[in-house]
Amino acid sequence: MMLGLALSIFITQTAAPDVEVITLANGMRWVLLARPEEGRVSGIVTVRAGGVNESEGLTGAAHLLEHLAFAGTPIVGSRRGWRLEAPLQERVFDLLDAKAKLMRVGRGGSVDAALIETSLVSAERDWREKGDESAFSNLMRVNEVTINAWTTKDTTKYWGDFPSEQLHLWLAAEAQRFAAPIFRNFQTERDVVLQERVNGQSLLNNAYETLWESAFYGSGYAWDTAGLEGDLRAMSPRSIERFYERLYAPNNSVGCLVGDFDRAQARVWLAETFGQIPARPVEPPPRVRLAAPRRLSEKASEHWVILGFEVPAALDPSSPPFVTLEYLLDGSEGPFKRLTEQLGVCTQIVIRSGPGVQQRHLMTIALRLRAGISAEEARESLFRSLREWTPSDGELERARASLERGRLQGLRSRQRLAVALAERVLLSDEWRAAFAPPLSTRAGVLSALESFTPERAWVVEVSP
Amino acid sequence: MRWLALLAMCASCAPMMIGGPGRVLPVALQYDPASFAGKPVPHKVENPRRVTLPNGVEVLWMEDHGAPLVDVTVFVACGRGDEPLGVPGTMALLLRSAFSAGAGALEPAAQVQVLDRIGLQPTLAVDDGESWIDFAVETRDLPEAMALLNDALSTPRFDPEAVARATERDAALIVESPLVRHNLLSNQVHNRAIYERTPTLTQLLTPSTIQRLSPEILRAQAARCLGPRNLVVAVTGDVTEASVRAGAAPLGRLQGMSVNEHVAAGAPPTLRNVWLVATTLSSRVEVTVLGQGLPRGSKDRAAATILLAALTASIEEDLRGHMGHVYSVDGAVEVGPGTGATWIRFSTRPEVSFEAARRVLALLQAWWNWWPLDVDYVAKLVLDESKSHGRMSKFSRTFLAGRALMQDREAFDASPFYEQVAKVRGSQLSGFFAHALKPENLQLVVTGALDPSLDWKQFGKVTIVSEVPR
Repeated sequence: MMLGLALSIFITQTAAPDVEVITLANGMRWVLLARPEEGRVSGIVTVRAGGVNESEGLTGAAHLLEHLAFAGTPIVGSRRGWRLEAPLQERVFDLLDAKAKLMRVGRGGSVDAALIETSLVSAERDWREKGDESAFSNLMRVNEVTINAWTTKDTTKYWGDFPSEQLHLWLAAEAQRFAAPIFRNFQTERDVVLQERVNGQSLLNNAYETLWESAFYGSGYAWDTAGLEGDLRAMSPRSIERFYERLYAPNNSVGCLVGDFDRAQARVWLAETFGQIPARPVEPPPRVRLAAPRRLSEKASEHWVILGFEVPAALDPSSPPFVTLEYLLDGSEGPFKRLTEQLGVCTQIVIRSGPGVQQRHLMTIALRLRAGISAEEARESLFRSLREWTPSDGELERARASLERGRLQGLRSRQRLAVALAERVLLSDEWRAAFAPPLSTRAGVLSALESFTPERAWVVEVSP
Repeated sequence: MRWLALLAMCASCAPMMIGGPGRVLPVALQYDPASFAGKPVPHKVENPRRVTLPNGVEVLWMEDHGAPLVDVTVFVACGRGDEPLGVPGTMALLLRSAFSAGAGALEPAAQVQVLDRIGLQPTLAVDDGESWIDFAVETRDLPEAMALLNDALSTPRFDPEAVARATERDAALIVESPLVRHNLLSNQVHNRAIYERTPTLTQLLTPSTIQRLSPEILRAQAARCLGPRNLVVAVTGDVTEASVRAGAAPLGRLQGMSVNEHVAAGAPPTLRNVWLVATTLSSRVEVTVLGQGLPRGSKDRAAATILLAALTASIEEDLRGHMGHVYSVDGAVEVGPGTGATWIRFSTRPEVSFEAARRVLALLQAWWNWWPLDVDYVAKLVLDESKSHGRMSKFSRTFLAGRALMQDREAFDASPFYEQVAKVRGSQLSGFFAHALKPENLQLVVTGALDPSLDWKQFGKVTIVSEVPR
């Protein structure tokens, strides 16, 4: 049996002595990199399912699903067997579904909703008696497996770091929950996600959301990965199930192992675990749409101006000059030094890109204005600084050295390397770039800079 | 055998339906993952190595050849408590200026340019009793980076124009940003709560104090703090003993015999105080409970680490279980000045903050009345924490050892920290708890969107702190 399973794998690429990409019979790809790590391994499963796959009314579903995936499987966490537990899940899901429907039509405070809530209390109590939502995390913890997960606009990642002798356990447990996660703690996790949503709110984040909503109106980058509060409150487990069914397939995911492990043994275990999950059709990622630039305003406690400019997808071959440019703009010596030190326009400049990486997105320049400086003056000064600036050799060298240092730090960390390799293969079918310094020339940076003009800028003015 | 058991278990199995049509557990995955758990194998975990240069500079290092990169941290035996009265912020500006306001033969612009060329962009931190700078460079640039570091420490120029630009920018940031002012005030109040009788540790950074910072003050502070006996260097990365020794050689030429004598910290408070710092800039409330921490050279470092892990986990479970709306719970034990400080902090929604504070104080009182950690539980805690520290990255291990060496000096325990943790006994945990968190001595600091009109006085003497006019 093991021989047959092992033969069902075939190696598709082995271009470097240390890295191997295998494709399981169901189409799931795994990147394997064995290297000394004091007896530890980092593993990651990256699913092409993120905020971009959501739709209006379902914002935050990818992130909520990631949280729910920690509540066990039909076997891990089922105190008396799944056959006894399954009807209790159905009962709770039916009630939550009915409650969500009422909330969506503005009847969350109705008598019907109150009656459902009463029934939910007892239904959830009954389910908790037969299902243990902590069992999965406890199983990992007692075996010294550290687990975590995070969701972006483009992907969801499930990560583990463990002693080498627990590789089989991690693969077995992860494969089982990938195939059949049980959402035992729906209401609790939804509350946690709502709290995270509130935690993430700040003056700048709120302004970014305003910007994205306008720029990506009607497409999957138009909202934060955390989702909108109203959508989260009205989310039902059935809608999360449907989201899962659309996207969580082995052929829509890539895994990676980095660390101290035996590659031949790993291949066998991968075939026995993840290789057993059936492939199924999945949706291609929806294309995001960018609206024409606009000017918006927002009230908050401080004066800021935020400008957004379209930039290519982070893994696009045309991206490196923009990455270099982002670095140069963020530095204290770049074109904006004048804005803070000589012109006295602003006291702080924040540069970031988002909200996703897989498709074209926005690089934002946020200026915290000094008292007495108008948004118009700040904008004019900013564009004048950009027009009058040409990066010096020293600045380009600094950017190269710094970006290279960041890349090397990523190579040294087994976690960051596993994340990078899996993401590269999933989103661009190419892992070698993770090991190569991105190249950008002066001409490339100057060409990238040409797209930063007033006509192409989305603007959010924040004022008290 | 596992496969035989699995085959037997699944002989009559069918794919298990979970919910919707796409949620099916295939027969081959209907196993108990726990049966695949491996038997724990002891793995060798390295400990940083140490060399003392003839002039007293201490160097700790650990090899990590995962990438051609080296991390360097330089600890300086001067912190906030060692800043002159009237000029808070001296240490931060000193360290920043050492790398930007000229050093050795280099004018400010040239220094920045050279540092940029090798990507040496130091980040810095200032704590109560020590400060540090860290940076990462490619392996090939280590010799040049260490020579530049030596210049920054031995011959900083503190160019007046560069220093003036930095102070002007910092002052403007405080003037323009209410959030920055609130954060500075909150940080100062946390220090007042535990160090009220130590003037240098309770200074507030304001635009007017920043304007007092001058090259002369920086020079005097550099003379006091940057001598070789005040430095510990931690190196992690693509190095060997030979390259570390060669890289550290310039630091071996630093001159000076003096060791910074920390200003003696005043006695900690003996009555419970409640400090309230309200703001409309935040939508949540942060509550910090403070007690005494660790004096330098204390043998309780490992016990304190375990106790805080147990306490914060217990508080988090209690608050989340009974109240909800709790965003985060964390805590730490800090070493010196004086008795140091232990702090436990949680953030909540405003409507539950008062009750959360009450619950946490009640929980600490309950621990005081009836020590809850029995022998078995302590053994589990010790094992978990020891493993957790054994799993730390090499950088973290070298960093923590470097900081401990800086703080404890002759009393430094060079054994791996996870081994120190593994040796902790239950009596040390209860002993440290009694020292650090005696209920009547606890200090409470509440910041954020709090309601000052609530009955905070039931927790202790209330001080409402408001921002002073700019």
